[in-house]
Amino acid sequence: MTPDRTRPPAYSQTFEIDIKEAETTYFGQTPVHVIKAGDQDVVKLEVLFPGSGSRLDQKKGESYLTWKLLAQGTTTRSAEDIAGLFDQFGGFTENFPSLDTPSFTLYCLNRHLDNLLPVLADVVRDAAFPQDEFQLNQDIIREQLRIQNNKNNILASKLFREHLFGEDHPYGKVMKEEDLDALNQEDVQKFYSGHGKQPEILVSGKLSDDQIRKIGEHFYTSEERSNSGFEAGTASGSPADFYLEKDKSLQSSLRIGLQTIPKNHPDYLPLRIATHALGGYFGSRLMKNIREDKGYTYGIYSSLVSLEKTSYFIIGSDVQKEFRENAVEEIHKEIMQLSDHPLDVVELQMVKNHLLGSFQSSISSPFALADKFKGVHYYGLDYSYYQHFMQKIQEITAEEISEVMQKYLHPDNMLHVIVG
Amino acid sequence: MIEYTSFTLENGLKVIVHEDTNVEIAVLNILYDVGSRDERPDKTGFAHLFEHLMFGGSVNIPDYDGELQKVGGENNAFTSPDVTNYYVTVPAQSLETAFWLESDRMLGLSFDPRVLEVQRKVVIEEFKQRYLNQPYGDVWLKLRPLAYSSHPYQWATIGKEISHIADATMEDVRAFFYKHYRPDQAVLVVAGNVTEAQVRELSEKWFGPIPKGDGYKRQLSVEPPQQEYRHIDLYDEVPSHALYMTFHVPGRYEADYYPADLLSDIMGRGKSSRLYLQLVRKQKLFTQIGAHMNGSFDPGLLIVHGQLAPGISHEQAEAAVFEVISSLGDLTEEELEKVKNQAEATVEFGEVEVLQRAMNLAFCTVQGDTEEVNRETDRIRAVSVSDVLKARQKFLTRENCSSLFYHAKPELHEN
Repeated sequence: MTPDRTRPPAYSQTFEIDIKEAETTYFGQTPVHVIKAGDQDVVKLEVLFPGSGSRLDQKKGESYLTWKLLAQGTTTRSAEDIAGLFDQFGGFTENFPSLDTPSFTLYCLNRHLDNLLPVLADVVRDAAFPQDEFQLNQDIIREQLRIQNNKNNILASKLFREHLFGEDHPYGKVMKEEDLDALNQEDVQKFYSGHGKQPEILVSGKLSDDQIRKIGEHFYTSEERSNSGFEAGTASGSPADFYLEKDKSLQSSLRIGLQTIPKNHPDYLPLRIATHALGGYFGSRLMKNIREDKGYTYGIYSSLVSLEKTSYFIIGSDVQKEFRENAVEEIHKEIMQLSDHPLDVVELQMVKNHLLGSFQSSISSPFALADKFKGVHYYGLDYSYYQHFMQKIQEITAEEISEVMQKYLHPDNMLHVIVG
Repeated sequence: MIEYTSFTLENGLKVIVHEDTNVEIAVLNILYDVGSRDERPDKTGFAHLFEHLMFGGSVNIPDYDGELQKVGGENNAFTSPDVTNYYVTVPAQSLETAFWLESDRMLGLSFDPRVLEVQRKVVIEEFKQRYLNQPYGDVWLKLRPLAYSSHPYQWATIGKEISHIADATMEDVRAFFYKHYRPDQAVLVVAGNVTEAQVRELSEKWFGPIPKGDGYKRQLSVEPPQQEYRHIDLYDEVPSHALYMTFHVPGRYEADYYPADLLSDIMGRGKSSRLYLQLVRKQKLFTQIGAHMNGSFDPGLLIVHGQLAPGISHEQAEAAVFEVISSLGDLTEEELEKVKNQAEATVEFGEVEVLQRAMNLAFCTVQGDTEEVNRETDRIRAVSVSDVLKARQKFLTRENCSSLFYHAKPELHEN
């Protein structure tokens, strides 16, 4: 039997997109969002602090440090005790400071959840920030910051955000070493007292009703929740391009982009699709040109970064230093090309299928379902967003993609940050 | 517990099927039994360069990625010292496309000189991006040849030097392909929303007609036991002093692996580990420190890696690590239970994603026993306190240690 290898086998143009939704139960005023799924005996429990990220910082870094130091002590347990307890039952924890909604996450085997819940609740609800722990962690974070800022790509991303929004904007704040040094234990204690008392719970995995009830009991609160009514606003003035030359670098990190419409804007979906065609996948325009044709780089991408109250468009790449001007020029060309000349039928279909297929594939675990929940819940959207997204992908025309490109993504309006 | 069935095609291709109807995807994972350890010392970096060439078009399909993207699939690959692994995720209804694509590139590549030229450039950029343009990026380029005197683990997967990649010829590419990319040198795992019957039929149809190879049998130099402490110093503009210590340990699927693995966890996994408590928290000699196994198939390394606190010397830091090692004698059942719980959770979390399950199956199969995938937890559970202490006596000695002191040149701290 010799198969015909010259033609692709028949493939399906319809996609199975079925997102299991979170169910929310209130325990007092505390929402517990539950996704029961999966065959493995594992649980991921996220404690989220909506809107309590660095966008609220009065002093730069206070939010970052607060959420980073959670689990470094409670009024009754030392940092060492806490780490020992989590480890004893094979639980992993992660601190996620954020611009918008920070979180503290516990991963554990299902059968250890009962043992871990009391310590998790204690860490979150009764956190203390002992002076010696504060000191130790401040030193550790300072070293990490130095290492991070020594990496061109990381520094470029931070500088991009800072220059894009401006350092006085809620989303433009970037903690530097001197900001870190200026913070003290009381700042963190105060930030926690103001913003750490009203968490939401998101739990995913193979869960029993009894476990959900226990989770709810540990995070029960009767206190009314306040709503800050935060608005991001746009950055003042247009940001100026920024170059940080590093003689010894072999590569330059490029970040090119602009602030754009938030996730709940009607044009967001077409813009999201356009961004995908430009640089969202391996066969994108940017990858084809800058990597596969020119060999200037190992990788290049474009994406829309959705913050809760605004978004920005960004192109990122580490390119051979001697060709960085050429690379920028080629990037501009690709943007204009997509604006001025609608995609042909074949490429349009490929973009659509890739988006749909990768979306179907991304729903591969209970934890992925938790991410889908977060992707709408904190953006003032609901699950219908995903239906609209699927529908828009199927309906969109090549002309519409060019129109949003023209409307939102002109290279003349973009900030360029180059490090290296 | 991962359920699976398996069969072997006449041309020697081993096929494993793992059904999971909870997902709407299918994963096709194909592992070729070739890594950088199979390279010649004067042509290093080749297995990895080759991985890039696999995306440059095959006999009947000029654009692998384009065809895959049409059905909404995703793919990637990685090369390690031991294996080269390719994986494709497609919507389950388009599984056959993955078979078509993967079988065509096993049948033969385009061997287009332009592809070699571009991928050579891309890989050289990858070399720079990951190994030369990152602080501490060159550590493994220096540490591997220190730790290994004879086994090909002495070079990194990216290669010893850029010139080896720059000098690769099309003749090398062809020879490498027909030696290593044959059905009898590969393991195919198909997982997700698929059935065994479907996979059997598709495997026969697409992979069945591909001829087997000459049956390459690996014969590598065995690394002799290390007899004395080895050491090098590196100086560069990095943010802080760093210390790397390596100790020879058994390979990933060898008998003594788990005692050594749990030993590394006791030493340096997480914030309740010995190294962290003693050296970061109590003595404040390091700002971070950890220990882990590199998990290679042939005898591998237990690695201790830390960033030094300002003002601390490497000598002082290294001596303190050896102090911690010598104090391990008071290990308790409870402490061992802790790292077992951690290890067991890692195994279970490693099986959450269907792709990860597929890879685990492929790795165990190429090592000779697919069922090993379901024995890991038992092997972890079976380790006793005395096993761990024996592993310490055997492996964590000064004679078995190669260490690298990374010195931060002072310029950087002043700006």
